[in-house]
Amino acid sequence: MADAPLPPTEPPPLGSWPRLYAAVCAAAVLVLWLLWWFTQHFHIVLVRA
Amino acid sequence: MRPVDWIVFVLFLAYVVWDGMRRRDGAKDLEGYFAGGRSIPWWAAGLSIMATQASAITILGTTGQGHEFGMDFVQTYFGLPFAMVLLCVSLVPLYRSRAILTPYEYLEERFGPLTRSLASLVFLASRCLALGVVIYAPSLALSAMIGLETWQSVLVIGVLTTLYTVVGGVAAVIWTDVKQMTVILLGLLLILIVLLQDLLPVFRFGQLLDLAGAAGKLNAVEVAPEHTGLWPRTLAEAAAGHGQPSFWEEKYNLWSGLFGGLFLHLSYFGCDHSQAQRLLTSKDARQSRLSLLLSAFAKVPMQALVLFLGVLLWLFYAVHGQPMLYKTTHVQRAASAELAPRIAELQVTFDAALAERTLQMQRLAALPGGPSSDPAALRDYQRAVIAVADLRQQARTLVGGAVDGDGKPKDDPDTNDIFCRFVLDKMPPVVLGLIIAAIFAAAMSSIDSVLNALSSATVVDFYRRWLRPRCSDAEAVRVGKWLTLFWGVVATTTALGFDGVGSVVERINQFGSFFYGSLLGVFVLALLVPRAGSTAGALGLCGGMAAVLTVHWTLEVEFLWYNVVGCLGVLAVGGLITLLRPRR
Repeated sequence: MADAPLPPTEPPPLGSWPRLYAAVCAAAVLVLWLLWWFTQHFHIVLVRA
Repeated sequence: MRPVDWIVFVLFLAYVVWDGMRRRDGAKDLEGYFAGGRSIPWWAAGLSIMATQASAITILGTTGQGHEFGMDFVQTYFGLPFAMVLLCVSLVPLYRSRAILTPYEYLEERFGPLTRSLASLVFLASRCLALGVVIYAPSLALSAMIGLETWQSVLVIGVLTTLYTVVGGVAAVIWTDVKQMTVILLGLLLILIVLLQDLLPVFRFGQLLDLAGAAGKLNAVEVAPEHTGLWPRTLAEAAAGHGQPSFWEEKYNLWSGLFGGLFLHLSYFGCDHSQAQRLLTSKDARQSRLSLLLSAFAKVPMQALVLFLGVLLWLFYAVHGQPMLYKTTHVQRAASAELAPRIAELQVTFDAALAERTLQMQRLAALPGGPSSDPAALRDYQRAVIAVADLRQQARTLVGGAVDGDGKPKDDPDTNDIFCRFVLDKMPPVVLGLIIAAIFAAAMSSIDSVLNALSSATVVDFYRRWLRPRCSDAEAVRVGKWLTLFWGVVATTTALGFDGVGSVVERINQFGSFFYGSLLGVFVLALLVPRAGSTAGALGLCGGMAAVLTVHWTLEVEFLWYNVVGCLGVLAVGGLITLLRPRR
């Protein structure tokens, strides 16, 4: 008797895992860049006399 | 608290306990009790992962950090998204291709029983210690808010959480975490709205950012380290003030966050059973991966937002005037006959400093070209900001009662009390009850996960491995319930014995950093060095922890780097033993 076929695996969001991981990393880099821009734009080092 | 706030608060606690206890039907066998029947959907496991990490720490400690030190703490989380992706690629398939209940079972398959037991023991020791802080710190702050003694708050949190975790197992943990996380997010959103509603009629949003930025609060990313020397100073040199501070002494910058944070989060989410357990509760590897990636997307923005709430809190107090002391015990001591005259003198100076800061703030905000367009105004504003902060520190030192190693009075920080003071003084009815419920929820959502994980590791890695290998599932679940109760009692008792912690957030991460790197190292050794055997695994783990302790006792290095030291220590010792072992 033939083995029962494996149940189909649902694909990840965006179609493949590498694509999803790349999206997560890109989003993380974007957030870091936004925070960096925010810091550059508004932060002034507090100088103690 | 008003009666209506008590009603909201008690109703929420009752709901959480009921919701947890009704999961008992699914917790009849070992897979059900410790792995949720492997049927938890990814989004619930993902929210539970976030709720476990959030703790009351996220609300109390992080907003306090934002208020006192600005946003630099967010950098600790910069390595997290990349850690999650690495875990999805490496450990998740490894765990999900085996019917394991703790990650340390995999270590036995790879290195033998000794390494598994050692790793599990490291987990039990580190988590048990940290759990006391997780219960104690919010209890301390909450007791002041709701008029209970600290020990009463500890008991409420400890007993209720233990109760539903004993009965419902990990499914109770996860599903209550989902509700708790929802309440936490709702509470944070409400506070954001209240703060912005208050501040925006006074200053435009851009002006608020200018004022916070000029006060050094918007330091979210520090790319260029203040110190560039790579050779760390010894503790003796640092204590004597000799030598230049090194790169490794900076607590938070982009590099410690990316690299130290990467190692910390790889270990916390992949090798610490209180988090890795979530990866074992969903249906398959796909669901486990998605639950991790939810945090990867959400954690850094969420943490930045919470710290920004702390900055808004600072602006709120800068606009409306702030108390010199936030902590209830400080206020009580300040009223004592011994300290009252000195505090009264300090209060006069403090009030003058506040008035000066308000004046300089208005002057700076009125500049059309922003703070940098008038260096004199900027300098005066920064002086006024520092003067207020210094006077607060003096007052805390005076009333705090803490002393350093030489017996001199030292600062007793009130980082965890700032948020509580604000909520208690400024929140309208019902919202106050909801926010206090959110803080309790945050505490409980972290404790329940750890309790179930401690019990699971004890049963699976010790009881069933060494004492009763042939015990039935029913017996293991029964023992698991008793052990959950045992760990609940241990954690609550430990919390009752605590006295005075600084910033909770830092303390927890510091506890973890002593062990996490080594725990991660042994898994990395298993993956990267196929020839490494049982001696390399066990001695490598011990070597990693010895390396961390050596660095801690001799060198001036910030705790995030301990994770890297521990991991590299394991790889060095384990790798060396493998190299020296003759090939078969």
